[in-house]
Amino acid sequence: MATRQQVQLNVNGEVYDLEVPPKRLLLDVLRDDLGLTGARRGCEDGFCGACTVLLDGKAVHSCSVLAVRAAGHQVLTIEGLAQNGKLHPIQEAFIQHGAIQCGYCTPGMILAARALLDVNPHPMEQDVRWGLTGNLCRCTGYVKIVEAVLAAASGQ
Amino acid sequence: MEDFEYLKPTTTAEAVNMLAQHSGEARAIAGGQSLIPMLRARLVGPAYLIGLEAIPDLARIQAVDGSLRIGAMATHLEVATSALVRQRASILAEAEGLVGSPAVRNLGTLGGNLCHNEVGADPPPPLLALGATAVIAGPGGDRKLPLEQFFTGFLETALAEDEILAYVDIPAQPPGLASAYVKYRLRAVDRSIVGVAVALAIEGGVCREAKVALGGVGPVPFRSRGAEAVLSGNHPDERTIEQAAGAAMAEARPMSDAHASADYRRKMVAVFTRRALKHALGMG
Ligand SMILES: Cc1cc2nc3c(=O)[nH]c(=O)nc-3n(C[C@H](O)[C@H](O)[C@H](O)COP(=O)(O)OP(=O)(O)OC[C@H]3O[C@@H](n4cnc5c(N)ncnc54)[C@H](O)[C@@H]3O)c2cc1C
Ligand code: FES
Ligand code: FES
Repeated sequence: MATRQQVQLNVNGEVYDLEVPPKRLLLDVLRDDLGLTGARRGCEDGFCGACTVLLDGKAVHSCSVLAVRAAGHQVLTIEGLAQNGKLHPIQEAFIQHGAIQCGYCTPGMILAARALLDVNPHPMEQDVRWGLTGNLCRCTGYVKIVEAVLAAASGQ
Repeated sequence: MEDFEYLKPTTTAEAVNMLAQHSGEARAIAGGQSLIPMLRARLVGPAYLIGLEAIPDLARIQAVDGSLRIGAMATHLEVATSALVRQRASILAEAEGLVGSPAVRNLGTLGGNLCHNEVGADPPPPLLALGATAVIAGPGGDRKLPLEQFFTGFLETALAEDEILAYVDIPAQPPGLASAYVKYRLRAVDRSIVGVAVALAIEGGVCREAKVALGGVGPVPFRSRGAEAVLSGNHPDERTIEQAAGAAMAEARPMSDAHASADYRRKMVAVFTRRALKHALGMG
C-alpha cells in the first residue's frame, strides 16, 4: 500500500512540493512541515476554530482537512495576510481595539473575519457575530473582537 | 489515525467500482467534517478512502423533470445559498444555513450529512417534509429510495458497502405550500435538540395534506403520522395545532445526552411543533 503521496500545495502564494502520508492533516503540514504555526491546534474536532485557514478564500478547519484534499487549492494562513511588511487592516484593528488577549484564537478569528468581509464588506454587528460562530475565544474577548471587525469594515 | 490510501475517482461509476473492489475495506469521504474526527478517534479505520470531490456530476444542483435534484457533494453553503433551492425548497435552504459554523458549511456536504445520519442533523426534517427521494448508485446501476427508508438506525443507513448516495430529488410542491423549519439548540454550532419541519398544502383555509418531520428526538429522523392525521382535512386553528403538537410529542422517542434529557426533549417537541406550524401559517 502506498504510504506516501505527492502533493503540491499553494500556501500564501508559494508552491510547495511535498510527499506526505495520505492521512496527514493540513494542520500538521502547515505547522510541522512548513513551520507556519499561526494555525493553532485546539479541539481537533471542528468546534473551536483555532486551526482556521482559508481554502480558496473560504474559512475551513485545517484540523479536519487532509493535506491531499488541499492539493491544487490556494491556502492562506495568517502568515500570508500582511502585504509588504504592512499588516492587514483587520490585524491593525485587532491591535487598536485590544481584541487580542492571549492570542491563541487570534489567527483563526482574523481569517474568519477576512472571509466574512470578502463576502459581506459592510456587515451589521449581528452578521459579524454569526460569521464568527465557529471561533471560540477562551479569554472571552468577544466584544472587542466584534468591535475590531466592524471597525476594519468601516475603514477606521 | 490508521494509514490509508486515498483514491480520487472522476466518475460515479469509477467510485462504485473502487468501493466494490475493496469491499469492507473502503469508505467514501465527502467533506470529511464528520469522518476525519471519526478516523482520528479510531472509530473507523478503512484501508482506502474514496474521495468524491473530483466527480463534478455529484456537486450539481439542477431542475430535472419538474423536480429539484441536489448532488450529494453539494456543500451546506451551496445548498443554503442556491437560488433554485431557495425558490423550490426554501425550508431546506434555511436548515442548511443553520448547520454548524461557516467552516463546517464550507466543506461539509448534504450527502455526507445524510449518510452520517447523526441525531439532530438539520437537513433531514425539511427533506422528509418535502417528500424527498434518495438516488443511490451501486454496481447494478441507480436505485431510488424514499428518504424515509434511507435512515435505518442510529448512525445507520440503507446504503450497502459498495453503494454511494448520488443525489437527493425533491418533487415539485403544491402551490400555496405553507412550510417552516425551526431548530432548537443552545449554542450556534450545535446539532438540534429538536428540529421540526412542516409542509402544509392549504386550500381554501383547509389543510389538504400535511407533512410534519422531526429530528433530534429519536434514533432516526421521522415523520409524525399522528400530527399529520390531526392536521389533514382540517382547518388549522389554535386547537388543531395544539392537538398536532401533542400527537408529535407522543411519537417522539428521544435519548438523553449532554445537551438535553429525553424528558426535556419530548416536551420541546410539542413546543417547537407548535411554533413551526404557527410560523408556517403566518400565525406568529
Ligand atoms: C463542529 C461541527 C458542528 C456541526 N453542526 C451540525 C449542525 O448543527 N447540524 C447538522 O446537521 N450537522 C452538523 N454537523 C455535521 C455536518 O453536517 C457534517 O458536514 C456532515 O455530517 C458530514 O458531511 P461531510 O461531507 O463532511 O461528510 P464526511 O465526513 O466526509 O462523511 C460522513 C459519512 O458519510 C459517508 N459518505 C459521505 N458522502 C457519501 C456519499 N455520497 N455516499 C456514501 N457515503 C458517503 C462517509 O463515508 C462517512 O461515513 C457538524 C459538524 C461539525 C464538525
Ligand atoms: S482545532 Fe480545528 S476546530 Fe479546533
Ligand atoms: S485571546 Fe485568548 S483565546 Fe482568544
